[in-house]
Amino acid sequence: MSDDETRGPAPSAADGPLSRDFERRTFSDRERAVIRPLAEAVFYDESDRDLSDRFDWLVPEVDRLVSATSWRVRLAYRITLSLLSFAPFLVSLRFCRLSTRPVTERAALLARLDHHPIGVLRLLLVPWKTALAFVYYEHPAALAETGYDDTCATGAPRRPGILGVVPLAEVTSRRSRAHGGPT
Amino acid sequence: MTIVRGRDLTDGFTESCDVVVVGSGAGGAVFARIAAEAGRDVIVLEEGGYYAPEEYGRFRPSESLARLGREGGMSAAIGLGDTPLIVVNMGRAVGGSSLWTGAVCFRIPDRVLDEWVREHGLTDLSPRHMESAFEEVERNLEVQEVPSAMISRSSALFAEGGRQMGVEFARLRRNTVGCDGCSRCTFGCPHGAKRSVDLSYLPQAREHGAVVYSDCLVERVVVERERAVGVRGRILGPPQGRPTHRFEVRAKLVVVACGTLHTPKLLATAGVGRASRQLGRNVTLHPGFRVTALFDEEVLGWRGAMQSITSDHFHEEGILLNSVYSAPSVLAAGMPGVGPTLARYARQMRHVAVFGGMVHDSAGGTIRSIPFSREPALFYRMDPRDKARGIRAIALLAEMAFLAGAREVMIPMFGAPPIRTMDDVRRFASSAPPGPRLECFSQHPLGSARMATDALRGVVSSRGETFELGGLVVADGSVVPSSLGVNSQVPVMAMATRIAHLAMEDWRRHAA
Repeated sequence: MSDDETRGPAPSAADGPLSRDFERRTFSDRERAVIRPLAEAVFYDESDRDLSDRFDWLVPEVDRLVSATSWRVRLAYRITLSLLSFAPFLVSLRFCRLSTRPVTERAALLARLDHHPIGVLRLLLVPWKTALAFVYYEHPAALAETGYDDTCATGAPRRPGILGVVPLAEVTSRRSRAHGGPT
Repeated sequence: MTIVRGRDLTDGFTESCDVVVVGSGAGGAVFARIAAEAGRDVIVLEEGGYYAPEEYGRFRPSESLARLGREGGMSAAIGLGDTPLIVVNMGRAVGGSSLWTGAVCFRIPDRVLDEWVREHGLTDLSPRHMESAFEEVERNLEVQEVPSAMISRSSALFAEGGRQMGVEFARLRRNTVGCDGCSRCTFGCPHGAKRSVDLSYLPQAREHGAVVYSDCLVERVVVERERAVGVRGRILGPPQGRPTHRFEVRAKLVVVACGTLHTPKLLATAGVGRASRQLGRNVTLHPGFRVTALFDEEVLGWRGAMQSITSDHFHEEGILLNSVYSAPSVLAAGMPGVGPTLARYARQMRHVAVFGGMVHDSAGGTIRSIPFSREPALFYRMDPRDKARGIRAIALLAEMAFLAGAREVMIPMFGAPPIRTMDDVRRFASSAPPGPRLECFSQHPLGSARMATDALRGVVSSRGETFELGGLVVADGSVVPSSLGVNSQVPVMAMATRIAHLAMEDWRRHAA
């Protein structure tokens, strides 16, 4: 079954938020080129389906999530990503990059890293597996594969919003009338 | 309520008012509403953005983390010694952490209030004195017991396992009205059923003229003649949300309600905390643990209230049991292995139940400012007694899961394989796993500017006023004197209610 067949509506930024989002980015193109093969290995399921659509979507979404953090967290992600790119060395002392290995081998290397006898190395994968899984399993096709059916206990419609956003000028004028003007 | 989105402003601003409240979460919103109702001109400044309920209700969980959460939901307490890294969830948006709660409502237990009276000398915080504040908060939040129809199968299995151990569970009280039971409260209620403060307290302040500015990072308290007279900061604007235009708000009373992590940083700009050296110390977290269990039957744990039952059966051991659930993506992230192993477990989501517990901890946390960073660092040294309580809680949860019929249980320990028998549980309990291997989380950081009877023991008085500076009040979880042992939403709001009423009763002094 192709990815398109299992997918519902394309993932969107919640139908376009009313609030303007900040445009942040943490990872360079070179780093994104490491994130993608890492993600392919983390979610490798022994099938030969073409899941490139999912990973095309996943990488910038993960970047967006990590970019919402402070520089300290972003730095930690960049450092752990660099170290993970040398997983073949960390696991089996081979001088090659993770991204150059076939996906089956990448998945096996990460599995060994996940059970590494050295605690620090074992924990290296944790932040990346967490961030990648948070986003990957939100892709409608991946989410559907978990068996999640998005049903609540009831099916009542959402309530209308009750708050109003106003321009500053209107607030200033309203406050001026009420309190004799801003200082 | 009037909202001004800071990110849409093209210039800075200067305002003056009676009361400026820094932070729009559980503490700040309560103070804002009470002050506005008392006729004061109120401005609320919030560092995070504003997203309407109909907007955040459509967010995917990771979008909520990025837009509504502090540090994208990845804030953590750094464990010192034999302590796990503890993920600390906090809000950073209009509504603050009230957007992130599981809607669980507990009062502060009488035994804790009695301890504050007895050991901290805070006689104003006796159960009798706090009663009216609890009543007011519960009325405004429309707190009610979870209907039995909203108890998910995951929670029912938790209760079944407990029953077989002789542990009774009770239905939780929550601040939801018309909950549809879709188990995603902690990412912003998709149905507007949870009475978070953006839907309860802040709109109630609207009729009285309160104005909320979002995207406004307050950087310092302005002090003149040994008195706080306002705040200064910068608007977080496009394109990247970095500080841009400056603003200043002058006020007769400055209320700090930035939450346990950020309140100390702001107070320090006014020189508060030098006398006691207690600022940023005494932080408690309620370290929490969750056990994920696989059953043969279909559980469909997302159908129902995210949290619906609780047991204080083990309160003498410092453990509170609460049912929990989360988004499938979050649960999948905690499943074992990578590659085919992870895929195999993630595909069994329909069979997953989640059981949770948290520890009534001692004050092991300290907050430190970090140069060139808006985010302070939280260090936490877990008391060996609390670590033992955590391991005991995990073992109890795993045991209940097996008694309820689980075939496999995933304990919260990095790299640990799933366990399959009661013997495995006993082996885990007796193995004394190293702290850093435990997966631990916290939703209730409290106590970094604690209330005390004098400036040598704490930062604020029982009225919430800082000992060292006039015109400055703290009204958030940072004032809590010691660990509560229960979810902190209503306790924080009740403390803020009391502080706000006292400030309004004493307005002439503040306004002088």
